[in-house]
Amino acid sequence: LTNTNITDAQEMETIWTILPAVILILIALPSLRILYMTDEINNPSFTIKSIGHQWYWTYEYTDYGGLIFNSYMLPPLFLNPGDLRLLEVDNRVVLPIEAPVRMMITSQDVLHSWTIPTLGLKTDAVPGRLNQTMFTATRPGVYYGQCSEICGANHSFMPIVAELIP
Amino acid sequence: MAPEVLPKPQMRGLLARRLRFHMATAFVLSLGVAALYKVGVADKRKKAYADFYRNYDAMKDFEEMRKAGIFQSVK
Repeated sequence: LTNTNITDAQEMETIWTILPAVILILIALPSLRILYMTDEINNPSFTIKSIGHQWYWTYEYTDYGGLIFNSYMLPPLFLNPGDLRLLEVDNRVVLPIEAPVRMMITSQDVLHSWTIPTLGLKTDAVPGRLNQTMFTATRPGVYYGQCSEICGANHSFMPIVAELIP
Repeated sequence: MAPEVLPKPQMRGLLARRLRFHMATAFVLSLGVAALYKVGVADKRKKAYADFYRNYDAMKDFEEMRKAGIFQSVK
């Protein structure tokens, strides 16, 4: 290990330590900037609270009055032909399209997660904490999601259905 | 018969030569792949979205869905 042919490549060692570090910093700085930008909440037109329970969701529309309702899954016996099993609910959450909507999500008991994959939404409902997420939908329709954090026996039976209308 | 004299092969700097070649090739290839990805995937996707939304009529879509009876809040 003292042979001069294999010791002392000091310049190369310095270059291939410093250069990768610089490259990584150049990647990290814009990346962190974008990461914080995804958390920005820009002038929402509408705010709705979504509260997870075992095993249903409560939606509160408190911007213009005090509308509060629960959203339970429809049991298979109550489905109509054409309805989706384990996905339909009795009261859907109605939201506007082409307007920034802010969802405030929390839980009354254990961890849940409010998810609508086709809108790119997934936010954990943590008891004692208020998480927020924002979206602006461009297309009307009915969007489905399911609770995405294990929350007990009926975790698979508390879906989310959003009706997006103009 | 005179013995054949081969040219003296390169004895030193072999690693350095290999590194130079491969570092340069890797740099050019990675730039090329990034450019191809930008054109073939990223720009194509953005164009597909822009083309879809250019003449998209949300109200017309909504009316068709409403007539099909999928909404609970509007009939």
